[in-house]
Amino acid sequence: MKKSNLVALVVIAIALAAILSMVGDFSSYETFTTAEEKPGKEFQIIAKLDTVEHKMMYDPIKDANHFTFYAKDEAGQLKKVVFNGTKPQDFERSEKLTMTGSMQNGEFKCSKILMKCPSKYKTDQVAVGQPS
Amino acid sequence: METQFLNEHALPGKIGELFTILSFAASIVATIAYFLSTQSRSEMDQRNWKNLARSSFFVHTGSVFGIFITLFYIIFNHYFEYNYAWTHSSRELPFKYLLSCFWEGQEGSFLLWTTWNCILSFFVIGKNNKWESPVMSIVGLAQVILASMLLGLYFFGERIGSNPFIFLRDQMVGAPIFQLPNYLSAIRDGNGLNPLLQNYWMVIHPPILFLGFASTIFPFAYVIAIMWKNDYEDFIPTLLKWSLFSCMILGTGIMMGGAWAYESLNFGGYWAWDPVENASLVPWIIMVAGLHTLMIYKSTGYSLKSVILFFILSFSLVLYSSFLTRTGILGETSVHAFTGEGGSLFYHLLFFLFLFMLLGFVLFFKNIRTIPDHKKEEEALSSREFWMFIGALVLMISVVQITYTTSMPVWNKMFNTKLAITDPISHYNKIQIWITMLVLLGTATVYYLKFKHSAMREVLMKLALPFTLALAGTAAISYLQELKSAPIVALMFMAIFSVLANFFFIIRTLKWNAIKWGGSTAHIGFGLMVIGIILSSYNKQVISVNRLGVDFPMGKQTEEENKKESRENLLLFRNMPITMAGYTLTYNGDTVEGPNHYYRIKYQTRKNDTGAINEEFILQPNAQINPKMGLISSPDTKHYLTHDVFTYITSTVDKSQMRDTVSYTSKMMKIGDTAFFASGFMIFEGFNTNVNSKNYVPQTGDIAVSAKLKVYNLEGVATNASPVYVIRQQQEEIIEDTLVADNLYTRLTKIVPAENAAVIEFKQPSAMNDYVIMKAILFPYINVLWLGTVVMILGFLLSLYKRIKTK
Repeated sequence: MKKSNLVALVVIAIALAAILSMVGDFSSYETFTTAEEKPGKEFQIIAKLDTVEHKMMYDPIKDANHFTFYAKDEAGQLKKVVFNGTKPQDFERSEKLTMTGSMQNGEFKCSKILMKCPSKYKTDQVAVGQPS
Repeated sequence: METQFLNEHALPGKIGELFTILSFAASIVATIAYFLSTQSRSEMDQRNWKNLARSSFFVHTGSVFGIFITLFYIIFNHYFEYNYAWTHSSRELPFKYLLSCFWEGQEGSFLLWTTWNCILSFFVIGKNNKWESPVMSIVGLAQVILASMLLGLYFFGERIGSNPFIFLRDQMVGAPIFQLPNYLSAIRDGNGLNPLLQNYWMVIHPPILFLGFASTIFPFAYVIAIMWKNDYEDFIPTLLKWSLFSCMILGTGIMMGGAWAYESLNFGGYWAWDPVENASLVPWIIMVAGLHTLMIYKSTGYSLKSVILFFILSFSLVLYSSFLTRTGILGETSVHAFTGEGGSLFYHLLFFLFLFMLLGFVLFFKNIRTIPDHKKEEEALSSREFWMFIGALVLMISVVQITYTTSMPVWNKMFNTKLAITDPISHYNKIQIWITMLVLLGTATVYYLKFKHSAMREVLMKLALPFTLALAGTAAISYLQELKSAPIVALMFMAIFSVLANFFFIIRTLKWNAIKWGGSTAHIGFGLMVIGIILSSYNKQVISVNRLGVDFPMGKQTEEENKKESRENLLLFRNMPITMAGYTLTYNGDTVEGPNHYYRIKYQTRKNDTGAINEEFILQPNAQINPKMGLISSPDTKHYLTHDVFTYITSTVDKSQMRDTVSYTSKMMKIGDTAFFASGFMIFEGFNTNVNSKNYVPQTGDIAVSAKLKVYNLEGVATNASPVYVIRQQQEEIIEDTLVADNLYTRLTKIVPAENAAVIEFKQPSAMNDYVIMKAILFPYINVLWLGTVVMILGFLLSLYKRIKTK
């Protein structure tokens, strides 16, 4: 066998090994219940903001890095979420939240929130002024 | 009867549509004619078909320019009856951003791509050699598909392409406003440009990036051409120039994107392994691999098959990247504001991708036996070509990993799974660090090896000096910069080794023969980039850490890391200084310019002994409270030679929503009297009966008077306030004047003509109600990264120059 073929095989083997070794980095989107089974492990959860029963709490003057709210996951379970950051602007209007974090003592401690707003990229409303 | 709409400018749209159809038709004719010219046996036929093809291609190019100019004319004149102008621009945009409006939309960016293809094609046609017909058949085919993207015609109920000249009223059929013949007078302004794109990098980055994308079709077309014609002579120099050009431009485009992200996005960096970034990086890496295998083929006759495969893959992955970023399939995984136009575009791009991939691979496997290959003599382990080839394969590992993970949303869609990565940055880094190490080792040593066979003893002797110096350098830097992770130190060593080895190669071997410096210079640039990346990201430090209050268990290893993670935002009350990382910070209020709020944050450092001010500068990070996208925050950065202080707003008070409890102070003032308030004073200068205030709209019968107030703040800067007192239909009305910068509210509530005096009421809500929350990051030695980028680009440029000079 030629040396280059041998090396090519080795390279392919390394590439496969690399991909396989990373499988642990992937997680599917979870629910609060599955996250609760492994407290402390990081998960991504898709949820909806819920302000019906509980209010969002954010007092930047007391602590600018502490924001709590309640969210309902895809299974419909409601949990308190603690986010260590500022309250994202227009958070009330979010339609869907993708949160990264872990369950601790019945609360979801979250370090990253991606939010999807209904009108983010849509341009279906014409701004109308008075006809002059 | 159809409504006759008033004041519409219909002509430019008609002209534009004519050009789109003409460009599509002409590209079809050009492609077929070039194809027939390639296939013809007699020289006469070849020539005739080629002449027809050329004239059609000129018509096609003319039409593409026509579309471009017409669309720009519409945007420039603010013809908001056109959907494109309304969706992507507005009146208040400065001229330079009118260009950015072009590439915000999907149609405009396809147009940009086609335009570059046309321009670049003239370098192929100008050569007037045997490759013109086959190469231009391929480019022409791509032009047909790109031109069809702008058609917007219906075939069998499915819309093909999207017409940029469509009227707004045809886009939004049924909206009540379009029942009015004079609807246009109601549309005062366009929807505007995405504020993130209102940055000078966004004027220049997309054209360069698209030039890079466009250029990748030429290496592709040339390798197709050689297989098609089964002619493997006289193509190397041209292919080499195209691949060098492509590497240079695509590399520049990608790094400009990094610079844009660093300057105007707030994720705190220049690279985030975002799918959109990855999608443009991957074709570049493959192009670099193709360039290197082409060098092997040129010198030894080996590995032409790899050259062909790499160039096929590079262009295919450009198409794949368009597919990923434009169809919305990436969904929530990307921060980039690309819209999912969805629908037919999804299949249109998929068709584009598979057509060209199939074309490439089918031809490749059909010709696999006839593609020349140096006959089976064993490559020596000490040969340059062997290790260069290994290097190219290592680059492919990188490509496989990046593509595999970036395509996760595609796998999810195909297999109906819901997988995602929780921490993309460390996921990519942990593989790419090792790959980069190998690549750097290759760039350091490759020039010391000779083709065919090298004397290893001599090679090692020559490498001894850069190796030793690199060891010493790594030790020093690791100590000074406190690099503690072993892989990072190893990576640093490889990067320094590569820089030094190439530097010594230049001064010892190439000497002043500067035209040959290209390759080594590019390698030095790459090494410097890696050094810059390590220094700026390993010791990247959030300096706005708030050390008060409770910490959060963030799952980090040490207490210190927990602290850092949990409290990165700092709250600044107006005019209340806070110390942070050796700086004294004061928030001095904000300035409003259009939709932008600029928050003035004053940074001061003081001498330890005397307390005298050492240094003072003001950063003005900007935030837009955008009705469509929420808070859009753009950082402001203080650049030092050795580090950058990067500051951005993470949250602010919406002053219009604020309810304050401070009540007005009332004061009777005669002309010339002074009243004091918390942060300054004001002088009452008299009355003005010719009222001109932005808050006051005159009506007939009004009796209006305003007070002239000169307001001085603590810095001694004077501004005018003019509260208005109106009697309208026997009712008194008081129109307040607010000085946003000073946060001062003034009213004129009573006029006492007898004494020539007025009752002025004023209030200044407490500073506790006015604050910003910000985050500051220190990037050490980020300039090394930018320097490395420039050096690498110069290296490509030098190599390209050399290939152009040597005929």
